[in-house]
Amino acid sequence: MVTALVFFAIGGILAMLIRTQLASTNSAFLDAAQYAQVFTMHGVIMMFLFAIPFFEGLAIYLLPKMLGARDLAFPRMSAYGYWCYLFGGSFLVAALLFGIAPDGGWFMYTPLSSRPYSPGINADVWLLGITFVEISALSAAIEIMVTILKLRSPGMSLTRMPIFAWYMLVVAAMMLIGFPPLILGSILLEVERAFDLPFFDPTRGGDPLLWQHLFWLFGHPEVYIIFLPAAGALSTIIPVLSRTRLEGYGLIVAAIVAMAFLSFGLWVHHMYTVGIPHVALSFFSAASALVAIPTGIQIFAWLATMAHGRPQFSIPMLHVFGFFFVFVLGGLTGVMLAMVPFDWQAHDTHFVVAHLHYVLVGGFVFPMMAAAYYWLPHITGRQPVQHLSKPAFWLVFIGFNVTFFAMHLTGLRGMPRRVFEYPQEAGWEVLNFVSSVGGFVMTIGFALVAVDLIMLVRYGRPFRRDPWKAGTLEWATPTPATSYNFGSLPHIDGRADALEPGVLGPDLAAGRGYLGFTRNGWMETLTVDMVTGRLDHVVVLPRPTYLPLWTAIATAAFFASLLAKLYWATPIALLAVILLFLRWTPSTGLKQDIGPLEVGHGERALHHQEVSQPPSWWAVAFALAADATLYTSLIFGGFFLWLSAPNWPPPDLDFTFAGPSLVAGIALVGAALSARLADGRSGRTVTGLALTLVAHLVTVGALSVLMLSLPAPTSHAALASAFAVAAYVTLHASIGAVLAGYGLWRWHAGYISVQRRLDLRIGSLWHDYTAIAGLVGLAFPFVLQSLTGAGGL
Amino acid sequence: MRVSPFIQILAGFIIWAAAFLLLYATQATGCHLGWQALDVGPVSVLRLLLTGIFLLVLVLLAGLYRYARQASGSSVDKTETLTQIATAVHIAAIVSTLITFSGLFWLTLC
Repeated sequence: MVTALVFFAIGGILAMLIRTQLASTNSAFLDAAQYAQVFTMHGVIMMFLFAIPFFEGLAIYLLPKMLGARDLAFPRMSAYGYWCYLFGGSFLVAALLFGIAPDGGWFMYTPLSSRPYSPGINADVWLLGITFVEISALSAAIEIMVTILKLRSPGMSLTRMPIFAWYMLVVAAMMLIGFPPLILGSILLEVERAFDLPFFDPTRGGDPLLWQHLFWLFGHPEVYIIFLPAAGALSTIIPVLSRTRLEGYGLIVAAIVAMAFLSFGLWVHHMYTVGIPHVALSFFSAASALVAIPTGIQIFAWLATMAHGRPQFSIPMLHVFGFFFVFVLGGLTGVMLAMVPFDWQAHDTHFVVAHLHYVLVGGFVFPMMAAAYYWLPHITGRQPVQHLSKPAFWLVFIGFNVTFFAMHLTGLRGMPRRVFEYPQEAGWEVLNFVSSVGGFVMTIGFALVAVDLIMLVRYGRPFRRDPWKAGTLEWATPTPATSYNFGSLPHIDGRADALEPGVLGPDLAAGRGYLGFTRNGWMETLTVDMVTGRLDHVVVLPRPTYLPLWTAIATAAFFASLLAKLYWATPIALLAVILLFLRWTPSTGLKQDIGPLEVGHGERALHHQEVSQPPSWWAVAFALAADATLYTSLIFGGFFLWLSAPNWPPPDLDFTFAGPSLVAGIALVGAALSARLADGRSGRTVTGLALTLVAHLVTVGALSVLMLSLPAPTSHAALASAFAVAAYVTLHASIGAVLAGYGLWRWHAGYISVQRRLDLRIGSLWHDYTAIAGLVGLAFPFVLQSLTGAGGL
Repeated sequence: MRVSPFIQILAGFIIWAAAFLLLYATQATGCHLGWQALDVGPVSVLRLLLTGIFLLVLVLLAGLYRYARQASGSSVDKTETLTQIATAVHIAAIVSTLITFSGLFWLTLC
């Protein structure tokens, strides 16, 4: 969270540079090139380095405490994700200091970002830096999902979960599906820039619109990925500060599920002007308008909660008021922009800039400040001083509205986005000047918020537990919380937002809950059945280690080698990453069966290594879901090019190779079946794993032959697509070989027995997925080739 | 057989999402291959196909809603929040389907 706030400050300074430049006509403050880097980096930092990471950080801090767990499911993965985020973000900011920052807009549209029009490394910094940061986002998404679904206190069924957990569960699932298309787009564009495979080049069968589809498939759900955690915080804070329970808990859950799906059906509303047929536009326009309904349900639920309670006008509530005012206005202009004819008029003007800031600042920044004032006493154990809190809020609120309300008018008077200067006769100067003054007032407000929060941390007075009289479990921990959160874990008998932390906290600290003792120096926590909350098994969490840091450094070296075009170093860095990840594993295994363990209250449960579906199994399943989304996007990308790109069909080339495809297909199926043989109870573990290893190596060999046989993939997008799909399957078969080898090593070292087969089960998941994805990939060139023969109009 | 509550909650909108992709892909493919120019009576083959998919999706969603109502009715605890959530989500999916795809009856296809 602190790192995200530092990035927020950097992004804010860039915003001030933008406002200084636009305050007057023909300003000489920044030239066009500098301005392009500044506005691009402002967007990149605010979207990728501030908004999502801040709420990920808050969720990582709060969720285990709200759910009654000692930590998240994979603390080392959290650490690795954090370092990836820090290093990736630092790449981007350092590039700005050296004058080589991305300059093609935060959305990096092709062909502007393609090699002929952006020959420097600016675009590469974006593509590689963002992909690096997205590793952190995806790892956090998986971790959050597994933690919410499995690591709850016994008795906490799905319907007893605090509402914030529901929000974060939905958000994490959205991230799992929403981010892979962006990662795929970034990889394809970087491959085009570095190796000339023409996915987006219309002269060779590519299409710039493919980039727009991939980007906005991520980019629009991203808005809701940012809003929903903030809404989760509001749904937690408003009932507490209104001294009542949340109205419409079930309806809110239904609304956020609906919102999550609808948000994936409106990505084209950023592309209304690209020439899509009316009927298709109507799908996206209707979905864009529909998404206002679940948003409205939440807003009315919050209003009803306040109406039924006795609202307490404290500082967090002041920011909640700021949210209502600003976000509702942003939502209304959003519905205006969802209508195609209006959007055609306002597209790419400052009206859109004003709208998006009303939505994002209203939907994220005000709730974030409410959350900060609400939970900082928990994080620091200190009460706010609050001399500056109110003036800070009003400065931000007034400054924001002055800046961006005026910007609606500037946009309606025709001022386009991303221009670094404008002529005097355009008549935009007064409105721009007003926006700039408002911007500086807002900045002073944020500076006061920062001073206020520092005062709270430094000079706030220590206080008792649960100052807001909240009913959620995080207030039952000591404040500030210990590294293990709870001395013992509670049993939850009712809704987990109606507890009595003041009573529960001392009881848990005295060890009168589950696991109120230590065993073998382990840090243990409990998992439950996902739906009923029935006690399931014990998870032994790993000890603190620097391995995540070293692994992130190796990952940074991998990306740096690609950025510097030192391709000889890339395999070395990749090998280092793989070896370091393998180095994580010995501390998590058991070398003997230990059977059920005492957990307290007379109950016993198995160690996570001895159950069939522990958190790590689910983590791999979710990772494969994200992987499948990326792969589906790749396959659909190939078909999209056939449908819409110019210069199709390709020259009369055959890119189907029956021999290698057949061998690879048989080997892929063989690998999956051998892995099942290894996982069975027939005692053929070694044979099965050895066969799996050999089968994957055969697949890699056959696919290498296939890729080498393809006519130059740089000549046409059809060939490039076939090459990319084959490379994807080869990569998965290679990882499958590593997993089979790893399984053999774990068996040899004594970590695998009839009871302890987790490594084999995880391997089986991978091998099954690789077989299915591989067979689809092997069929892909045949289908594409036959479709190109079908022609079209 | 008891269906997982996750599937109960998600099924309606998974069908909506699948319908979205299928209708968008069919529309794009049909336009590429010229199906809008082939008529069956007063309507084109493409519009007929899209309408068929739309109606099929509505039938699926209606069946799902009916199943959810029955499951809710046979639940031991009728106030069980998960079934209420699932029912609300199904209704939202049906309404979304009707509104999102209604344009295919009257708008230009290609």
